[in-house]
Amino acid sequence: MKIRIAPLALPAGLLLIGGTNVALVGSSAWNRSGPPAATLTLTERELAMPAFRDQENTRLALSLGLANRNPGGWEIISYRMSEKFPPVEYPWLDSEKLRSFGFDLSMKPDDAEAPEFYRAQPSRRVFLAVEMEGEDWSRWIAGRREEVAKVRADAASGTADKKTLADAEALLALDETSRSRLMPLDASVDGVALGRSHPDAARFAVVPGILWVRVQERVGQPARVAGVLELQVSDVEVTASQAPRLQPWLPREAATEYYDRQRKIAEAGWPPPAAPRYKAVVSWGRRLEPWLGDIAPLIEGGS
Amino acid sequence: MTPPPAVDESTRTAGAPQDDPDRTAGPTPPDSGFGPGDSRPATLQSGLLLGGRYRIVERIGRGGMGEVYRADDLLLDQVVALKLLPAEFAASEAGLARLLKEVRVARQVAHPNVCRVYDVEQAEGLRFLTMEYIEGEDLASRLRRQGRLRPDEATSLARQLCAGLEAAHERGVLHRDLKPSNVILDDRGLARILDFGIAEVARVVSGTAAREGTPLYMAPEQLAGGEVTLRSDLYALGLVLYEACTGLLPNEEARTLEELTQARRVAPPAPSGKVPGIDRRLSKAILRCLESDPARRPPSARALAESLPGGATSAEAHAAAQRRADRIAAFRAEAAELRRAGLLPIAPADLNAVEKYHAEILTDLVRRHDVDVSEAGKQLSLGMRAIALIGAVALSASAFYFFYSLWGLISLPAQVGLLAAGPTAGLVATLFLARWDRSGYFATMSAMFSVACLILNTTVLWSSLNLVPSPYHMLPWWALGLILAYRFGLRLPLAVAILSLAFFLDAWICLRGGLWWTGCMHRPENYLVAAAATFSPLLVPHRRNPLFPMLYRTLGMCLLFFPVLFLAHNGHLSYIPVPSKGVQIGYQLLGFAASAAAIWLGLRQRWKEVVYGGAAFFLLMLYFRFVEWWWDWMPKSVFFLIVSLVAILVLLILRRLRGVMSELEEVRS
Repeated sequence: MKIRIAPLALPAGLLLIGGTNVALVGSSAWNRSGPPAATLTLTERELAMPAFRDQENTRLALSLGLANRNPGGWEIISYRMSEKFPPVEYPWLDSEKLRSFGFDLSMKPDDAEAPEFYRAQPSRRVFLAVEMEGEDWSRWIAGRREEVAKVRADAASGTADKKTLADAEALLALDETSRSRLMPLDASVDGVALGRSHPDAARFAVVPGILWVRVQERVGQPARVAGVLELQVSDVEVTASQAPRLQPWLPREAATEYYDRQRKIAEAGWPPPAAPRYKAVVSWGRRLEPWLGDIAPLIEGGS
Repeated sequence: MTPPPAVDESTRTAGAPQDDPDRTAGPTPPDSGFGPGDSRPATLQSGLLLGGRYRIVERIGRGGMGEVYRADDLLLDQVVALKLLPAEFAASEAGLARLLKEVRVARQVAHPNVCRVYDVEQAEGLRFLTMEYIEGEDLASRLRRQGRLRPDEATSLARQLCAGLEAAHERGVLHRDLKPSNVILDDRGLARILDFGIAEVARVVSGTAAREGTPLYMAPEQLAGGEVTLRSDLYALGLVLYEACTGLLPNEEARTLEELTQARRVAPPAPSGKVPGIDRRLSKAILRCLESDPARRPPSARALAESLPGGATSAEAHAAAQRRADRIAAFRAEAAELRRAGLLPIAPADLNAVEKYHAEILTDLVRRHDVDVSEAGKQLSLGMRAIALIGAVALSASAFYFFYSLWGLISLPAQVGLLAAGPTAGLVATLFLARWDRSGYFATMSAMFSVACLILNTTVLWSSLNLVPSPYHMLPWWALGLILAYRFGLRLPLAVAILSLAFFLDAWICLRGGLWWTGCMHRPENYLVAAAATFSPLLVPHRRNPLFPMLYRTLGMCLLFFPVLFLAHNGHLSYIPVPSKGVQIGYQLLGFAASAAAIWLGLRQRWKEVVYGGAAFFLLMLYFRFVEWWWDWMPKSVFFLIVSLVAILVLLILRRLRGVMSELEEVRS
């Protein structure tokens, strides 16, 4: 049977456009229907403001970051500085775990072709169980304090210079006051099973994530293959009705001003530790997609 | 069948009416239209010279509204047809006014399927109209002689009459008296509409004037004294085609106007049911014309033409028109060369006639299809296509930034409304622009704007609703691209659709394999599936969009060759469970073999884009091989020398191949 396209084009097009919008809005409504799968209260450390003001775009979204993200907002410090931040290591994400996701770890990380070999391996879709300021994060920050204490001792004994100590203390201050505390506890391709093993919806959230591998090289340490985790939904929209609550802390700088300031900070040392200015409730629904709930100030000046 | 009125001469005719007795005129009541007219002009003798210019050769037709003679125009050395009014009309001012009006209206329409009317003359006390003389036979005579037309003849006639009627309607001319005796078929099968005696330059004719015409071929609204529109002409066209296909009029038993009016309310049986072999599309098209409700008839002769067997979309019609214009240009150039060489002796009058004929055709093609009639025009068109694309991108960017400026300030329902309005407005605008602008540039801009706004719509809502990114949002882009492409014959939306589907397939396969899907070339072999999907539409004919297969082939080749090229150097990205080196060698061999096969296939099928694409990829494969083999250890001077030597070798091979192809062409011809 021949189908004549001409008379169908307009209704088909309108149906397509309407259907697409209904499907998207319906999908979101279904996600938010019923009790949330998880609800966590996060702060600016986990939900960062945009780093600078975009004059052409009025959209406001908070950047949801795992513990391995550096402090502040998006690109809050220069790339050169960000490399110096100590990586947050996940002991559970070992070679065996990476192999279970299908990564090929056959090449030694110190091989000259290893960086390209591992970079070429496609990222995996995973589900992550995350916890806000839980035991894993406490253990990690305790380890960081021990590291810095050791540097202090070395400085006192003269085996470490003052600059090394100052850097270590500045970074620890940022870890303690500015860096995200949302710690991944486990990863799996089975989100339901992961939810069952982390049932406390007020402590844990199961979220869609991305996992890939990289060769990690740090000064004074042997190269290693490490798993890198990221969230599939890393921006949480602030609606027009919520935006006024964040008004006092919206970025004022334009991009050029921001980068100028960051360059000066990088030349001088490290950005000063900044306490979070607001907290917000984030919920995840049936489709494990997040949305922003109440926003409240943590410091004076908030609305 | 209603017996046609008697006509004296029938087998040889000219641009003139022959059975005008059927026609009702002016204030004459419609129900008197069945009787023969009683006014007869005086018969002119052969050899009579009118005004010292027109020598009468013979009478070739006679009807109620005058006689038609073949005559020699001694001034221009051409054969013409002269239409003389009946004596009582010729003597009156009303008769002269009518004659002048006929010329005035007929001159509005210049089209190969419409008989040309030259002028009104007065000589020896006679007023007459001069018009194009056509060696042939009118359709009424042909049907009397032959019974009915062959199905292929009927289809051809339908297309030609649609084209002629479309030309008239485009100029705002309603013919109002289309019937077999007003259609002449020349000895090459070319049909021409003639007799604009009661035609009007109007969109609607009402009142007494609406009753003029031939009742047997009148639309029901005209019989009822209602408004006459272009759809009334289409009704008459339906009757003419019905009669041409079956040899019968649908209401042959009706003898009076009342009976005819009653009969018009009943849908006639399908011509294809009466005569085997008639194309069902032609049969359906005729029945649509014969709908008693004008609103249910085709909206235009052009729409009717598109619904006929082999009916062209605007894209196909444009392609065919451009080919015709190119042939005329080539003919002119070659004929000029031959004349210069003295190999084409041609009388200036004949040359002028051909030039005039071509000029008319080109004027019509430019007017109706916006074809390019010169090389400069073609180059300009190419530039205009690029400008249309840039314009579409700029318009889309403007929409994007406009939305961004409001995004954070408006609620979600307002966002959804605004976002959905973009692609909808683009779609509706494309519908209107495609009708208004036949060049297609503005429709292309609007269509691309519609697709871009749908991309904005889905991506923004994805962000606003914090949805997990999914490749499925590319499917609406694909679908809208296809709708716009196939509805309007536009290639750019089709390219967007093809690429959307390719990226979707890559992402979907990644997703099914548990991989994250953003980015591309994680798994280059996924694109081989996309290439297969892109080639698959070539299995069905694209008669209505003849330029689409070229796009499918071009993009299909890109989706095939780029992954092969990539895998030829990145074997570890393959699904094939063999060592990387082995995969690379396999894909290198496949790349060379596939590009050579593409060249061969392109030459065989005359697909130049396949030949170019195959050659380009063959050279790319070769270049990358050379770099990998020799770049690091060979002195650069030697490396580039080898590259140039290989280029010379390839040139020699291609030259030889070209020679072989030419010999084959000669043998074939």
